[in-house]
Amino acid sequence: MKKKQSQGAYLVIKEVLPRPVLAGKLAGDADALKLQAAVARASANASPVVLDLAGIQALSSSYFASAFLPLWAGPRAPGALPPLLANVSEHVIDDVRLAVEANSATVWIVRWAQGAVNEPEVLGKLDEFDRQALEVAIAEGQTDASDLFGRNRTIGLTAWSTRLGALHQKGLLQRRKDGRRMTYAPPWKD
Amino acid sequence: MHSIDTLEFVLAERGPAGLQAVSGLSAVEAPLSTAIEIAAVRWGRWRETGEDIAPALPLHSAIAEWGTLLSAQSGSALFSLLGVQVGPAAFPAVADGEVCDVPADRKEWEAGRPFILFQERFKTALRQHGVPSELAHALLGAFSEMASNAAEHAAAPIPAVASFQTSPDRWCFSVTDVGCGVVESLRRNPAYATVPDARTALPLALQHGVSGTGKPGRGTGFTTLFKALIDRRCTVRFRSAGVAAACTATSPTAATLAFLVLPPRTGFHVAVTGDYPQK
Repeated sequence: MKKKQSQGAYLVIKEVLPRPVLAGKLAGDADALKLQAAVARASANASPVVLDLAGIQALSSSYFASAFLPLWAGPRAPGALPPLLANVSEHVIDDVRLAVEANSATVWIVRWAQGAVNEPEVLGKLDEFDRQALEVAIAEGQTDASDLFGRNRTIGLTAWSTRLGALHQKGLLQRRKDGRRMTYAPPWKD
Repeated sequence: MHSIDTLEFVLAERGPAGLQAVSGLSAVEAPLSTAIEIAAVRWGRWRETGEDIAPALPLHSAIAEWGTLLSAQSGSALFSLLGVQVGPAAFPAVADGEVCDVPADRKEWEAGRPFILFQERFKTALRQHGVPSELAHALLGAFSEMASNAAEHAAAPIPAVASFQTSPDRWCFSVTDVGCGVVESLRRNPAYATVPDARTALPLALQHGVSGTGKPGRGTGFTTLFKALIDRRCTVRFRSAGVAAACTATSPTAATLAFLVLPPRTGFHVAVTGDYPQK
């Protein structure tokens, strides 16, 4: 996957929560406000915020659900995008996935290096059409309902439009108005 | 060596004085987690009988008493009461381990520096015995998860205690509370309100996604524990209400546990003992 440039804000989790093991619901509850405050500060001038998990060696699903998931579930300002998770280690990814799926959430995870997004992937339950829409948006930089309908006519134009709207509501795609047309792009795309 | 269940039987049926009279008990080599489990039973009986409960209010007082008794019986220095203080309270110092109160609620976790430092010392002890960083962090995560579970679900009148111990040939951690136990905890969830007894409740509670909270996405704590033990040779023991579940296996899971019905007791106890990876 080629690199995608991003201008979002950047937060190193290990600097906000300075310990390598994050586990337990109560510890997550205790850290949630600290994390939300840090994200609010970082997102004051840029969105989405990239949460860099490099160096976090253990992260239990109950901790993630109580400390991190409110960042996706809570209300967002108009135009604001939920965070991206970056550099999630192989020791941690299964627990994050468990928490995301158990709570019916959807979260972008990416590799992040030198301000560029690599290997984007969505954790959470999506069907084949949602995944196709995201793949096209990543590959082309943006997409719209007509584009997707032209590629796959298994569902109709309106259904594609509805799906793109839902992906936008989940914060997985940003929406822009281009004349009478709505286009959708990955959150990190300028 | 006497099993924890033998010790508990002696305690339940004959009291501490009876322990003195049991033949061969001088051979007891109780790890710290066993002494804590026995102490928790003793604490529950103090509470049930109203027998001079004042000195037993903190669980670590009971631990200290049993440590002293077991040390005297065994002639060993498993528990050293030399006055070294660790953790937020005056716990007995142990030759190669520590005991610490578990922060009781969110506010205590926010201010929970002593517990974080206690966990850090467990990690350091593991690393000093050659445990790879990846495994040390996974065990620490499981340990923290069990501690959080106890604090959240026990509804106990006193804090749970967590312990770790590292000897030259094995590591161990335990978390013990004297709260409501697995049956009552699970029954808070309407889906499990009719769980009849501990023999039914304990295996259920250990399954992924089962929780007394009834909230979606909860009930993952034991999944985190078992995940940390994948490909590890270890002994896992759970004890709550009238049942114990234990097994010694590589990659233990809820399905590999053997269940044993025992006299009822308060609270919940989990202990994990493992070998060090081959160098």
